[in-house]
Amino acid sequence: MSEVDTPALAGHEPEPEAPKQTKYRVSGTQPFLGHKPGETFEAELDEAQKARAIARGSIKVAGGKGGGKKSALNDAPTGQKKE
Amino acid sequence: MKTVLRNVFVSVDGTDLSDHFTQITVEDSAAEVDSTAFGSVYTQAIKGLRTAQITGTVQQDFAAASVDATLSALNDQDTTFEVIVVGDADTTADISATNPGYRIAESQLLGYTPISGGVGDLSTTDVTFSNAGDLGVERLTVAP
Repeated sequence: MSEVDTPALAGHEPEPEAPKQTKYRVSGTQPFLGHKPGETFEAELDEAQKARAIARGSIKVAGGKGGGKKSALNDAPTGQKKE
Repeated sequence: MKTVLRNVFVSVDGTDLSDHFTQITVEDSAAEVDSTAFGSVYTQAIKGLRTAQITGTVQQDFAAASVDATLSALNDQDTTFEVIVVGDADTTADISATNPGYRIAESQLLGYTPISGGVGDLSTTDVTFSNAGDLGVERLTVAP
């Protein structure tokens, strides 16, 4: 099946895509995805893998490029989203 | 070129635990199913269901984000994770056609023994990462 381009409707311009990559810092004692402890790196991690890595202390979110989707993973254990 | 295992790379769910593993085995095998029938001169067999798993021995470490933190969490969960083994590498970037990596993209840990040993022993534990997907063991010739 071939893809068909649909012309954008007036007033419904597609929003620019938010940056997908997030900046992380390797916070654990072991290298993570080729990055040594203490290093920062940008990556687009699978949500489940990101949650596991943060939960066990392998990485911490060091800050994205802005405009990205907020992650509940940075939140307190109560699970409430930051404002 | 013949290879001595000195710098094997072992990554479990993205965490590099190479400096804690002392033994590693990547296995991809198939069951032998007997297909011998009347009229056969020899017994015959065909390949049956395949088994993919990575087994190893790892030195225990309870530091943050190290062995126990990684394995105990993976043992507790039901979702799959990725395990990569390379014969001679510091990172997956060293994977090449002459230094392939072996990956189970969807593996699971079906059991974990955090402490096992006697007095004076180095604390080690044997682990088995079983295949939980359709891909089994993949042979990588470029970094994933």
